Amino acid sequence: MTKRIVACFGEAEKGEAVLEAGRKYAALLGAELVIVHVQTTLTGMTGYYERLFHEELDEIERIFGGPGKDELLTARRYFQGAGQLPHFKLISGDVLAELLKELDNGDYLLAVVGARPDGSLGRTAEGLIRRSPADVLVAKGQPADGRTRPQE
Amino acid sequence: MNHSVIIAIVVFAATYVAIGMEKIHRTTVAISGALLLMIFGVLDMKEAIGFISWETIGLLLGMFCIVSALSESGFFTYLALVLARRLNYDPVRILVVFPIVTGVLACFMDSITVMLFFATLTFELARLLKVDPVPLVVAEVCLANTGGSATLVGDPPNVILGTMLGYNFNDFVANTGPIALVAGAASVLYFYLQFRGKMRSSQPVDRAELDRLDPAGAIKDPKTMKMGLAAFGIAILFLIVHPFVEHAGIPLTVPMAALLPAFGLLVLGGRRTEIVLHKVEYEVLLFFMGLFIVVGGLEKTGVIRYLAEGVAVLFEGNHIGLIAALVWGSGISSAVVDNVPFALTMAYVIKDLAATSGAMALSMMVWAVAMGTDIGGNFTPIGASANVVAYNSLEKKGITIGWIRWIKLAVPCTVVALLISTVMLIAKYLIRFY
Repeated sequence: MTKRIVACFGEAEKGEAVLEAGRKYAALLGAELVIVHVQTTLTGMTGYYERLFHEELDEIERIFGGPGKDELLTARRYFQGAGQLPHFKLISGDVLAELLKELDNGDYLLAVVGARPDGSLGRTAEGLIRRSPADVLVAKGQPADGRTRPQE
Repeated sequence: MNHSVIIAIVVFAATYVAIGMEKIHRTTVAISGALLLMIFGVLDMKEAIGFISWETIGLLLGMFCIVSALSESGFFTYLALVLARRLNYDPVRILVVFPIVTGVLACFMDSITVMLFFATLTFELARLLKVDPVPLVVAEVCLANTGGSATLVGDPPNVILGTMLGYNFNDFVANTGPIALVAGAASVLYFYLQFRGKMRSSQPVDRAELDRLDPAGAIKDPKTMKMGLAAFGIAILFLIVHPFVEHAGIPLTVPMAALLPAFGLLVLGGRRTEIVLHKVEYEVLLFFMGLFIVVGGLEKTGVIRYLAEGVAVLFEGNHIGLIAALVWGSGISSAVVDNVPFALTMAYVIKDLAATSGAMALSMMVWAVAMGTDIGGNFTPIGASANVVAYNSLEKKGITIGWIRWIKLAVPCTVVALLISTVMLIAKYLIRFY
């Protein structure tokens, strides 16, 4: 069975810490690294309008480069020149629910998630710690200034 | 105080609070409130249905169909991309022109749809231009709400006030239009002076990526776009001419002015009709229907009359004070509560107020409430539906504006716009042009 680690990549301020921790632990455990980015779907009134006009809004994102492009491009750039590229996955929905679903179905050893810039745990990190079937590693947030880029 | 009065007040207050909390869908809240009034016997079914302003619902339905066709065709994306290209992707020019465009669009169509598209498009452009999208989007929202005050169809509160109290498109254009124009110009100037220096990126911009943006590629369906624009133009034309046509004996009412071109669009739409119909905001129509019944409960039990009498005593002989109170009271209330139920309640209150002896003309109060309610929505991220949609759309993209930043950006221009409205309304009262 393939050993796998999932790195939950989201907001820029904690993103690179997550990627770095994912890369390090995947190398340490000899595991395959999967980078997951969950695109939030909104609830309430905005969610209603978003569902109503989702095709048009997707079209805008396509014109400007595709949904989730920013996050996954940042992640790809991060791993450029660092040997084998990890797997990238783009999912839409509620961040915590989708990550738990991925962990339930994906047979993962470890989930890497980011802390807030002040070091506290956000809803996603807290939810994963409480409910994830895999162990959870919280990477402390650092500004994404490119200084932590891995050197092979 | 009999039990019907207490039930009507409690149901109204609970509905108001629940809508503001957004824990339960606002349509569910409004319909539940209406049902509770019927279950407790405050209103029977016939009375409840009688309180629904079908003119409002018809006008909204017609405009929603037309806007649905325009958005489905890719009109908003096309418009934004053409503008951005014409402006040579200059962020300072975008800071001036995009809010003006959202303001003009919001004069004639639902500002929520306008902001849903423009917030997303502005974010994407700002990302490529490497500038902060927040001042751009807040400026667009402020202008959308201000522009919405200019016409009958610009903002839901105006639709309610106009259709319930009998003021047409031309009445709004002649009375709130000039005020909205001056207030809008002041807002654009404020954002320009405040943020022009911050609209220059220190990082290099990928010009090739900008040049790859193809406005023509944004048009999904040229036929639907042409038909949507034609229907939109006809609806506006009908709204302008309907008082004269009706006077000539042809029953072109306010809702018919929007429904006729909308149904023409649906009949000629072919296979696209189903998609256009699918995107009509039925939930909003149900929300309005529920609210009409909930506020109708207050009207039937006499609560609105007590309120109106209280206001009449408070401002007896002080009409200028009443104008200022209506503008600022409506403005501040709209900052914290949903402006649709607020406008609906105020429509009944000022109608009853106008019936008291020595009262100010109803039209003057309509313009004051419309300006206050529409512009006051700018104060906070929850002040108007367009704000909520723009705020959440940016949040989804990872940009959290936060209440404090929103207030810092929007309050100065909102205060200036409300001051302009107050002064111009008082001037209108003094020269008796209302």
